[in-house]
Amino acid sequence: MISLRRSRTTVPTETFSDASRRRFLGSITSGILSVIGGILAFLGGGAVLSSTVRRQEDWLAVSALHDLPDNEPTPVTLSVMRMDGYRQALERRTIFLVKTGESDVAALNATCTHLGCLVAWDKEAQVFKCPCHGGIYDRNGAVQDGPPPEPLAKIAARVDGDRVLVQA
Amino acid sequence: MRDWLDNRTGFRALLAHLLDEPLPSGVGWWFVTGSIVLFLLSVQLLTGVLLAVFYSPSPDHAYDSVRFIMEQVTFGRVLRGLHFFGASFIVIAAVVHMLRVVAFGSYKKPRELNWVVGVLLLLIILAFALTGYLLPWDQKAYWATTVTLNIARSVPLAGNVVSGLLKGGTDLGALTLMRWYAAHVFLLPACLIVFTVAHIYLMRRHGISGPVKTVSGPAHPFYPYQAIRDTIAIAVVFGLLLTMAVAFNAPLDALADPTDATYVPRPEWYFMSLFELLKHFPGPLEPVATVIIPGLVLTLLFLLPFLDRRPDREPGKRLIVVASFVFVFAIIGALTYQGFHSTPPASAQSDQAIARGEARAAGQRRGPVMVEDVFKNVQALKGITVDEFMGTMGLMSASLGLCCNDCHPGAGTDKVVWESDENPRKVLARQMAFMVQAINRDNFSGRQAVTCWTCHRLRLTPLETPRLDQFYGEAITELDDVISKAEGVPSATQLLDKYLAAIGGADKAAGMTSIAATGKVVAFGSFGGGGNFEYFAQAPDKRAMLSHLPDGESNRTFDGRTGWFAIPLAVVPKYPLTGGELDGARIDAQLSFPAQIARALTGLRVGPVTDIDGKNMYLLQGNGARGAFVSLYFDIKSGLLVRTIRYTPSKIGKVPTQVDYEDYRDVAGVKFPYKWTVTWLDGRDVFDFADVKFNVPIDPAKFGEPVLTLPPTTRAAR
Repeated sequence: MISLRRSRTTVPTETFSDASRRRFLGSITSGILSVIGGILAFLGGGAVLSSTVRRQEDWLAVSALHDLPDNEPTPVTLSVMRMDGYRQALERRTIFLVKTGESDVAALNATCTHLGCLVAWDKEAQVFKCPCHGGIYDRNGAVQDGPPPEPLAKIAARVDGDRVLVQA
Repeated sequence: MRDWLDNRTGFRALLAHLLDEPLPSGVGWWFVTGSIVLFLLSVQLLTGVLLAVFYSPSPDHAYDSVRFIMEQVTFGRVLRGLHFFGASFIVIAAVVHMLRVVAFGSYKKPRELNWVVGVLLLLIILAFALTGYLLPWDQKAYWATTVTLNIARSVPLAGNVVSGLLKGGTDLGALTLMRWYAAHVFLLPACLIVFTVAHIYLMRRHGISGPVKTVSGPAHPFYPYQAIRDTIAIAVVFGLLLTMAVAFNAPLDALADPTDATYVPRPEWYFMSLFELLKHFPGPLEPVATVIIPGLVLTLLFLLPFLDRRPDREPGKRLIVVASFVFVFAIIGALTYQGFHSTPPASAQSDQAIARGEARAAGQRRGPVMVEDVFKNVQALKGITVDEFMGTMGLMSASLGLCCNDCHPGAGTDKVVWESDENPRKVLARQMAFMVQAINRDNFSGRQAVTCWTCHRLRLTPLETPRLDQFYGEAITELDDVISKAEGVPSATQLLDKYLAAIGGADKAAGMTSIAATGKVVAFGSFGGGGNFEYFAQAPDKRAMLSHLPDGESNRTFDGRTGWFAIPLAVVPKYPLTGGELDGARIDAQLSFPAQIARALTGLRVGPVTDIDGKNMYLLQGNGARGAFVSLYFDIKSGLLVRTIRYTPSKIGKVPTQVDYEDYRDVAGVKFPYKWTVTWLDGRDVFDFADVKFNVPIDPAKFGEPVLTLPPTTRAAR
C-alpha cells in the first residue's frame, strides 16, 4: 500500500478520553450531512422522476362512419400536436377502428402490449398479429396467443352523426 | 454484511485513512474553507447534471429549454438557482480559501506545488463561470460572450487564433455554443476532478499546515472534531444558497438578439473588475488590460511560494506579500465598484429593447425573423420583425401609390439591391419615417395619430391647399378606422343573430367544427398567375390557405399558436408571423366559424349604416388582441357578411387586410360564400371555391409550418 504521507504521527487512542463525545459529534455530523443530502436528493429526484409531459386529451374526428366496414378493423393514423418538453412536436399514432354496431365504433391502440411493436390486421385469419414475437389478438383486442401480457389498449371513441371521434 | 463488504473491499481501512487524519492542535474554524469549496463544487456537479437532463445546446432550443427548466420542470427553478448562485458562492469561497492560505502562509515549503494546483483550480472555476454564461442563450449570454471573444481577439499575436478557437465559426453562433457547452460539461469537469484529487492528495501528503504558531496539545483526528466544524460551516453556506435559490429567480433575459444595439452587456460581478479595467486602456492599449495586467497578477500568484521562500508564516513578518494582496484586492474592489456605478442597470436600458425582449420571451420561442436578419442598411424601422416590416413597406407604397421599384432600384428583378441608397426618394422616405415618428412622439404621446396616409392619399406630394369645389360640393363621408356605437341601429347581438339565421341557423353554424375546401385562385401582386387552392379550418382557431401557384406554393397557416407566411419568389419567401400579423392570423382562424364571432371579438359595437357598391350595410366592429380590431360589414337586406377588414398595428400605422365575400351557396344546410377577394397592401387574391365540406377530419400538419417549394425552373437554377 502506498503511503499518502511522508511522515505521520499516529493519533494515540488514549487521548480520546470521551468516546461517547466522539460518537455524539459523529452522529451530529452525519445527521447534518444526511439532511443536506436528503434535500438535494429530493430536489433532484423531483426534477427527474416527475413527468413534465402535460398531456391534453382532445376528441379528434378521425373518420366518417360510412367509410368503415362492419366488424372489420380499419387502420387510421392520427397526427396530434403535442408539447414535447420545450418544443411542439407532431406525434403520429396508429389505431384500429372497428365498427361494432349501427352507430358504435371501438378504437384499439395498434401497439402490441408485449414489447411495443405495431400489430397488423390479418384479414384471412381475422386476428391481429404482431410481427415481432408472434402475439395474436382477436378483433376486440383480447390476447389469443403468444407473449402479450395484456389485451390491446382501448381508446375512447364516440360517434357524432357521421363522424367518428376518438380521444387522443 | 458490513464485514463481508469490508473483507472484499477494505472500506473500513479506507474510511479510517480518510477520516482519522491527525490534525495538529489549534486547527479551528479557519480551516473549514477548503471543505466549503469542495462541497459547493459537489453541488454544482449534481445540479449541473440535473440541468443537463433538460438542457439543449443549440441556439434554436437553448433558450426555450432553459425557460422550460424554469417554468415546467419540477424544482427546476430551484435547481437552476442553486447552480447559478452556487457559481458566485464558489468564487467567493475559493477566494476566501486562497486568502486563508495566504494569511496563514500555508503555501510555503513543502506545499508549493499544492498552491500552484490551487491557483489552477481557481482558474478552472472561473472558466466554468465563463463558459456557463453563454448556455442560456439570452441577451446577457450573447453580449457578454461577444465581449469575451473580442477580448480574446486583442491578445497580441495569437488573438485571432484564440478568438477563432473560442468562436468555432465566423460568428458567435451554434458552433460557439456547442464548444462552450462541451467545455462546460466535459472538459472542465474532467480537469476539475483531476486537479481536485491532486489538491487533496497533496494536502494529505504534507498534512494541513495548521495554525501559524504551534499550539501545544495532542493531535486530534479529523473525524469528528474538525468534521463537525466543516459540516456546520457547510450547513450554513448551503442554507444561504438554498434560501437564495428559493427566494430569487436565477436571471433569464430575453432571447439573444444579435441586432439589438441598445443592449448594454454587464458581466457577472466577479468579472466586473476586468470589464471595467478595459475602459482605462482604450484603443491600442487594450492588451494592457486584457493580457498584460491579468497575466502579471496571475504569474505572481503562481510564483508566490517560490518568491516568498523564507520559513516565516506570521503575516507580520511577510508584509510585502500581505500588502501586495491587500493592494490587488483593493484595486479589484474599486474597479468592481466603479463598474457597477458606471454601467447603467438593466432597468435603465431602453424601454424598446426591454419591451421587445418581453414580446419575444412571451410568444416567439421559435425565433422571430428580425428585419436586420434579412435586410441591410435598415435605419428608420430597426428592431421589428420582418413581417411587421413588410407591413410598413406596404403601408408606404399604398399611401403614396407607389411600387417597390419606385424607391428600390431593380425591385421585381433579380438585380435588386434593397440596401442601396442610390435613389434619393428612398432617402427621403427614411427621413419622413423619422419625421412621422417624431411628430407622434412629441405631439400625441406616441399614438399613431399621423401616418403616411394622413397627408399623401395616394399622391407623391401631399396637397397643400383646400379644393373649394370639393368643399362646396357633395360631401365625401369616410368613417373613422375605429367607430363609435351609433344610434338607431340593431345591437351587435341582434346583428349576429340575423347573420346566423341568414346562413342557416345558429344551431347549424354551431355544429361546424371544420371546413375543408378546394378551388381556383387567381393571384395578383409580385407573383402572378392562377392555380388551385386548398382551404382548411378547424375550430376554434386553426386555419390554412394553401395556394398551388405556377411560381410555387403560397401558404398562410396558423395552428392555434404559431403562424407562417410562405410565398416563393417574394422578397422574404417564408417567415413566422409575430405581433400584429400573428394576432391577425388568429382572428382570421376564429372568424372562419360564424358562430365564434361573438366569442372571438371583444367590445362589439355597431356603427352607422354605410354602403358597399350601392348596397346598405351594417358595420359591426370588435377588438382582437393587442390593438388589433376587425370591421364586419353585413348586408342590411340579406343579413349576410359581405366584407371583413382587420386592422393590425405596425410601427408606422395600422395594416388593413380586407376580404370580400360573394356567391353564398348552401353546404350541408349552411350558406357559405364561394367567392372571396382577399386584398392586402401588397396584392389581391381571388378565391373561387369549387368543393366545400364541413366537419371532415383534417391532418393537423396542414396548419403547421409550411414547406417552401419552388417551381421546377427555380430549383434547377439553384
